[in-house]
Amino acid sequence: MGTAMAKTPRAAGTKRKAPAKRPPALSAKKAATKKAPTKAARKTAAKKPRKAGAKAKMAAVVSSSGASTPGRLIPDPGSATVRMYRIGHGDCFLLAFPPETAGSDPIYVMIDCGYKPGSPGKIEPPRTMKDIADSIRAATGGHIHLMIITHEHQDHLNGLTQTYFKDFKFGEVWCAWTEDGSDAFANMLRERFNDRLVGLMRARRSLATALDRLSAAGDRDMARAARRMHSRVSELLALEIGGEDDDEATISSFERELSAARKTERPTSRNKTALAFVKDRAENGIRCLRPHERILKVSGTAGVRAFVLGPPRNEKQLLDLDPVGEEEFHIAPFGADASNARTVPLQTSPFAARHSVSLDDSFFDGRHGAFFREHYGNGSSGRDRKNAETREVPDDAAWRRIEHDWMLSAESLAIAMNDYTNNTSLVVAFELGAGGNVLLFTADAQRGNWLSWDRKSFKDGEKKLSVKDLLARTVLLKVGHHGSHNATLNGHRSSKYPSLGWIAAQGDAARQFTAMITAVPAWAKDQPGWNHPLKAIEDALLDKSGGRVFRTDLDRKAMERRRPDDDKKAWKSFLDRTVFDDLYFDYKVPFEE
Amino acid sequence: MMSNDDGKQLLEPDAIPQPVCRKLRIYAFDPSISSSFDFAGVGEVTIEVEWEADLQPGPVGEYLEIVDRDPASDAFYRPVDLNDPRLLAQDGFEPSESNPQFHQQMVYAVAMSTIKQFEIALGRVALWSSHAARDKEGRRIDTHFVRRLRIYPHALRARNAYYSPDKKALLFGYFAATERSNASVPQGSMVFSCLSHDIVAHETTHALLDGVHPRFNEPTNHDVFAFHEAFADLIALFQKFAYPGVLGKLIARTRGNLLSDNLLGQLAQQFGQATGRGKALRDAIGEIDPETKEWRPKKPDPLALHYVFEPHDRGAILVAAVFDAFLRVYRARTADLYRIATEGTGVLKEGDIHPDLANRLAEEAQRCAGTFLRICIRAIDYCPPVGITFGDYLRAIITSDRDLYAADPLGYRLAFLDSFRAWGIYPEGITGLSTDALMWPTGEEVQLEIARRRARSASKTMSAASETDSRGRVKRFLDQQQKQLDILFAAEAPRPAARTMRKVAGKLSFGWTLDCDRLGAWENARYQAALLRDWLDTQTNTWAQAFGLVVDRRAASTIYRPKARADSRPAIEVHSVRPLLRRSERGDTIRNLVVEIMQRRRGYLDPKRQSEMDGKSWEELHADRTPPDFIYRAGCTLILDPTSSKVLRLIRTPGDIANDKMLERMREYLTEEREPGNAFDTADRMLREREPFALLHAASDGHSHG
Repeated sequence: MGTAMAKTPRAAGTKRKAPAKRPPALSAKKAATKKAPTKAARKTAAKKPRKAGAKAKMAAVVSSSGASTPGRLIPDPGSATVRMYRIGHGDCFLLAFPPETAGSDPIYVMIDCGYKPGSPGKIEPPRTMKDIADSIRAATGGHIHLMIITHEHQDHLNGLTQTYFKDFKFGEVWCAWTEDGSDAFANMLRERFNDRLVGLMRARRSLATALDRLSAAGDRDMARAARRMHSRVSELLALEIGGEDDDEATISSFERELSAARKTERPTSRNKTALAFVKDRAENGIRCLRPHERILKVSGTAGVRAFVLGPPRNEKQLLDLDPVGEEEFHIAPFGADASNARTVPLQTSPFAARHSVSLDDSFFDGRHGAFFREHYGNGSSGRDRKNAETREVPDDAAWRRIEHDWMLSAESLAIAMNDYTNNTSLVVAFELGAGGNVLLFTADAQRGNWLSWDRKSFKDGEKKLSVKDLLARTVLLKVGHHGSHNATLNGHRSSKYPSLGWIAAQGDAARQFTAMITAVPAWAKDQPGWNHPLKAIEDALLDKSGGRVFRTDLDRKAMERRRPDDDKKAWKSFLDRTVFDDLYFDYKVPFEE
Repeated sequence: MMSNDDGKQLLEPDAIPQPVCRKLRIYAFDPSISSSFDFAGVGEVTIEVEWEADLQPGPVGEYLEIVDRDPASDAFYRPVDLNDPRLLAQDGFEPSESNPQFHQQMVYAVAMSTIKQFEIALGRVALWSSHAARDKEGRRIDTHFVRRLRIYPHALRARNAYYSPDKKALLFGYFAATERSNASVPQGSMVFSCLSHDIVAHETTHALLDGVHPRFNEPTNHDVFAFHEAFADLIALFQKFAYPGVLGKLIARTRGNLLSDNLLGQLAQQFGQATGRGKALRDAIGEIDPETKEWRPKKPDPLALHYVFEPHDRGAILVAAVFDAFLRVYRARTADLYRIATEGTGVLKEGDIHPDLANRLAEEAQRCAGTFLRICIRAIDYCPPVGITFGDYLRAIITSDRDLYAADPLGYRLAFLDSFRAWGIYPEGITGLSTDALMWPTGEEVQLEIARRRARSASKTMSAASETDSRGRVKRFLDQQQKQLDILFAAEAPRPAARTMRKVAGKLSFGWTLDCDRLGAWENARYQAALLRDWLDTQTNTWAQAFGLVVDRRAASTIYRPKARADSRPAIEVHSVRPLLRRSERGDTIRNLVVEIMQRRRGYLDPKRQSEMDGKSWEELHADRTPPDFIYRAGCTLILDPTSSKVLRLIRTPGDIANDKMLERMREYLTEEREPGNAFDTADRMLREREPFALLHAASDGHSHG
């Protein structure tokens, strides 16, 4: 891959000889333990704006706040600032809300912090997780009042580790009800998820074996297909396990832990570790949120309220987009029992032994060897027709064998699992004062999650507040799942289901509508099956917003190039509210227009 | 055991006649239903499969080869020998989940029944789609005959079963049930998709349809995949209804109002549920009323086609429409029985109905299902060669039935019209749904129109031309066309040496019937296709125009030309020449030929690129090896009558190959969102998929597609 993040382990090894210019992610661990971290952080953070050439803007932000600390993120009175960190192919948001009592510190809300390893190096200039963490520290003074974890995927939480956030204070932590250990339904879902994870690891192992065999046999086409499947399944697995290593390292270390663990205890994935890291630091407790319960006040802010729209409690909707069904992994489809992952799986047939013959023995079987050879031989004669006289295909044509068709199902299972986790995304809408503008953070919610949003309405005192109304007032949308095909629903204002058509449907909101896509296409294009963001979605958003679509990898110039140049005034007012930095975008949203 | 020497047998005075059929036991639904008390005695049936004297272990016969490889278990299961006298004496193995040899027997029996239904309806041997031999760059270099469809009963450990057009094989999966899948299946036990009657019939139908219409694998509009699914579901349903005994036994043990046609719908639905798939059936036909708790047929929604696009859900609309027509006919056919049973009062007495009456009702339903099965299958010869729509299928049903039976005393066609109207299925460009309006035009009708158009434009230039003149011109024109057809049907092989065919039939003719050798039939069809192509190629008459083909040298260069003849006219591909043999109401045999002709054009998703490529010279395009984004096809299906040298029916695609509007429509379909709600996922992803049905079927249990 050759990116900054992927090289990290190697860089750490060579560090003593020649220190890298920018401290790589892992080596930061040592640095952090020795030195006072805040000092270093301030230094880097202070350097940033100058480099980006946005000095004037930054200064303006700082001066208007009157805060003494440089780099602090201070929202203007009467507006909130949303900072989208350009962390890589992943999510990391910092929201700054004005405090309830004037003069005190702003309230900082952080949503997720993660990236796909390899992707941060694909943005100009390359950045590391340490840069991001230092910036967050400078912006918040190391105090996050509210930390929100949307769902357990690598690209949403692998940054949340001891290494970077050791000295941080977390107030409250919010996560989805799926994390609630006292919820029987959530526990059942987790149990099932673990089974699948183990099964998928096995499928991946089978793929590796098949790949070796195919390469050795010189079957180039099939080997290519197997390699593609293997890297795809690895990719998806790594998302579920988490951590900052590349896919291969992530999975193999988890595999080792799996085999070392006793049957009764389950090894924890990196995602779980990251989650635990934050939870353990929650000074004001953890809340596992269900959709459509009461309206939450974001404490300390001047009237910011939060509405939880997802994930749905309904199993069917959670599993919506689950193309294969959940059955497979209870029998560990690719063999063997879950406790022993190290050995190559022992394949077991569903039938009594007397019925079956193994492939190796089959061709020499006394009774049926000829049958197997003739109908499933490897077509070694290379004939493409039965005999010279006719054009009939031979019985043992190699192209009719099905040795590798299961690969297709391995892939769809991996996708199903990812879709499931994505659908457990905590979806939060922040309302800036009653009846004010709304910021919608959809995390990676997919179809089933979206469809459930308007199942119920909220009780606002005596009144009812519908989700359709909330969406209509939405001025900022965090686009779901890097803009992938199934995480933004298309539709009209009159559609029966929540969709892009419902969002920013109100006149004022429509004029302001802005979207944020967390994607690095330069990285995603090299990943099989990652079409992020989907062009159709990006186009629809560009169209809807008049070009106001932030994308992780695009600087101001690139963004302006994509703008349909019709309304210069609107664009100028947009620029006035925006700060472009190498590491982040700051976007100011007034409570009311 | 059995003498292979037929000649010797004939001389023997006490020669034992060849058996007509082989009796085999199968699950009528699937194992979970068979083991439930409610279905005791009806879960297993013995069906009669055509006798194949030379059936080998596997079983491997003329049409099918069952190869039981299970890669996930690294196992081969020993092939069953159905000719073993012990098995012959007891109608094969007893239904069993734990015996893979029974699984082989069941897939063989069910798939063979489906094949035979097709052969009976179409009057010719069934052929599988040909295998395209390709070079290293993936270019087709040769076409090979596939004698047998391969069936892998245990190919996958997944909740999936599909037909692979690439491998010419059916792949069935198996999986372990969990608490969620089905209450009647204990957790942890295995569910084998190859033991579900409907799934086997459904997949076999996919393969058979592919043999007739290989281009129906290409989704060029919303209806194509939906049609494939719906058609397979319909065949599976009617096939099971048509087994003797199944319905009778079920009806006999069901209480309640047996005369209500709801019962049939309910049964059909239970069938659907039993398969664990058949979502189309389950949701298409009806539902349980939440208040009365009683089953009720689904209300037709004439607007459904405007908002349902997911292939299974859309296919369900077609299934519902056809099933609705079936119920209408059944109702009409049993009205007399109902009157007899109620003595004209219309009120049924309390208690059970007479078993004889139950039997008669079942018989009617069974017969009716058999007829519908044949109507549905026959119609596939009357479909356009590419890009079928539900409306086209309705026209195909009406025309094929009308061509065979001029009168319609039982109102089959009206039933179809009524129910399709109720479901909002209208063919494009048809104003009213009547039998006449729906019939595909004949060759004469089309030529007459062309002649009139010519006469009109001629009379404009020559104002003096009298009406009689113009009439005479039309007549002369039509005579000319007829002469051309006579040439075609009398044509001896023009350049037999140029063709590589070995078995050369003399002229365009039927070459294959129900008894002929299938390889011979295949080669014959290829030969005849070449003959027809030559005829079209050397034409100066207007048949090509009438067929909707583009032969203009100046046509857009994205339209494919014959290999290495850059300046020539657009290539005409004759894909299939097959006989269609049917028995008419008067008892005589109707022998027709079905011909499919197509042209190809390079399509690009970007309209700008398209016009740029259209403008390039053909040589430039030919030299450019980058493949186009998609292939746009257009053409026609012809029903020919060699006896009278006539084009009986002419079924054209909505636009010809030079039609930019239709090209644009296909582009729109490929790039538009596939399903409202699950937007932005484009069909062009499906198009690239190597195993289109694998994807389609894997998703059918979930709620939607990923």
